[in-house]
Amino acid sequence: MLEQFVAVMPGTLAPALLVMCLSVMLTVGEGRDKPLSAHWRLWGLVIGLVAAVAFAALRATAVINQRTFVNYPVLVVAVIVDVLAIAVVLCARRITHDWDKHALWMHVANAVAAVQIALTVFYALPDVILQLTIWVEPGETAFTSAMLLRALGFVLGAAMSIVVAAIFRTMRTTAVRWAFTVSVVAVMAILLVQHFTGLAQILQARGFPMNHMMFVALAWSINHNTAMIMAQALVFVVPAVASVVAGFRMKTHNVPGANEATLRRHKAFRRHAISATVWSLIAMIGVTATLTAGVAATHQTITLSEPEAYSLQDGVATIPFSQVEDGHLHRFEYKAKDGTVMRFIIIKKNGGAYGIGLDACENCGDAGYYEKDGKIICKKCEVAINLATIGFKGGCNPIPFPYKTGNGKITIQTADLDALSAHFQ
Amino acid sequence: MMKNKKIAALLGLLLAGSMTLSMAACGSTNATSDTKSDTSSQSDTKSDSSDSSDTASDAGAGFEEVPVGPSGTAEEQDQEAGPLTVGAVYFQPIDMEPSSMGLKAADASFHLEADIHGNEKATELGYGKGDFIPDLTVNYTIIDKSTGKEVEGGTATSGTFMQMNASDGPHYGANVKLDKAGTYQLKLSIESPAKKGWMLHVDPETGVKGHFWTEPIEVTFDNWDYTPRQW
Repeated sequence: MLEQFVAVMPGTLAPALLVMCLSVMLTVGEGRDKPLSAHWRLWGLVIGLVAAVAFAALRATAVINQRTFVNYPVLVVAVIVDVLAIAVVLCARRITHDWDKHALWMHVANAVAAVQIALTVFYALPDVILQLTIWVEPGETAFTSAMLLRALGFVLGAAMSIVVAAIFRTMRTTAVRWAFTVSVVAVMAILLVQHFTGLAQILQARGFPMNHMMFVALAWSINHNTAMIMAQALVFVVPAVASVVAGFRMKTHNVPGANEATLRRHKAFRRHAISATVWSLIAMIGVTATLTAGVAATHQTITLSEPEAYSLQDGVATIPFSQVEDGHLHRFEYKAKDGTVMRFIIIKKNGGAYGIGLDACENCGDAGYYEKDGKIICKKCEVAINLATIGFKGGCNPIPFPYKTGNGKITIQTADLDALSAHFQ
Repeated sequence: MMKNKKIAALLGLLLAGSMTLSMAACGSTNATSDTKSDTSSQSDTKSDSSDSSDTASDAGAGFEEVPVGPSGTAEEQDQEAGPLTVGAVYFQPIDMEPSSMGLKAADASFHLEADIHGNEKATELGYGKGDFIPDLTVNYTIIDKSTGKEVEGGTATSGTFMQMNASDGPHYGANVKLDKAGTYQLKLSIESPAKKGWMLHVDPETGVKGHFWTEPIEVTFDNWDYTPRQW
């Protein structure tokens, strides 16, 4: 669940913030007193969503077998529109003030915003939607409790982005306008960098001449994408500070000439300003925690379980069935004649037979295996080993060696292990 | 109100139109990265693999292959090593069977492929020039140029390639997970088919002139400017 959550939240945060930012910057009028372009941004969002879902579906079903050829022109347009949108935001005050006197500019601003929302959503969401393909493990039915948890992680990730954007939106009335505008411009500037990085990456892979310095800059930008997503949330600290300052500046008593109603309004503003700031800070901490602690939790390093004791006499290792018949992975250590410390594993398979092999494979060397959710997984390549194939050669299967079973025990000639010591050197 | 709706619909059309246009336009973009048809029609579209002009025409139809090499590399950089011609490319991670032999596609960043064919010298071992050489043991390591050591933080960034068939024929390959962009080095260490028990005729009538190499052939693809990609 956590894996889906930490993948989906960062993927949806930028579109959610963008929609919110442009709505705050460009919304004017009430009721019928609205420009005819008032809903264009919503249309942009809907079209972007539908196109993203359709594109992801086509890609997932391999009707389209590469995303680059669509992403390339999309990013070219997106980069241009991002620049125009920043200009729109910088002039938003002038455009929205007395908009009906220059309605055309209002429409232009809404059109640019709509196109930017559509392109941003279209570019960002397929990555998130294609997470769906890793929901169902091979050989697993679609309706399992694990699947339900993954779905929950997916929904919660998307929900968190929307909630974070909604929380930041509450500062639109409490923070001074310029403070909010600073954050919006910063969010959009980072978005521009992200889109430009995506475009440069496509060009680089297509053989576009790029010197080493340019590539280093590109690699830096790609490797710091998580930091950029965090920055998109953290820039709202500017309106948060402005909001709390405005809240505390608002006098709630001893205001000459103010009646009770005005004072009550001032008190409400102060309460609203402080709570908007507190919630925004919580949202920023939430985003940061998801992208740092949350991601780290999904990349935990595995330590192999300790080897177990067994009897070793006259060149024969003996392990009683009773020690290894619980269906779990059992690890044993053996010091070969040449001094190499080797490990081997034993697991009882479903049919009752024992899977026995080195704690190493041809592909990944002596990385070792661990047990997780009833599966045996290679520590290095993370392949889940099919229990039935343990004991067979090849791939990432544990390297097999001869052994005997009978009289309630497994016996292994240590000479057979000695011969395989090279796998642990 | 009616006018409002009309304009909204017009904007929608405009957006959809611009997207369609950009999609259509990409059909004529000069995609220099090699693309590979995964249908049986490959044979008639690719008579000469060194000709890049034919690859642009099917951009969008085939999946994308990116050569392992520095930026600006648009074609697979073949290297001659002993009797072998070795090329390396990567493309979208793919699922293989049997599934326990490597990372599954959903967990990988790309599929790394070594194209190993016989060259003129391989004819002395009985292979035809350009033939795929089976039963090689191809060990690979991806080295981070900034540290000089095997790259950290990935999965299956070193190991042994498996031999497998794709629609364009047999190759050696593996799914790899590597999320960090950077300049890397791909090192291949190729052991001869003799290791897997492949034999050679040595009699005067039917025998071959050459002998299999005894020390692994090392091939390095240097200054590989890699970025994780959306496939």
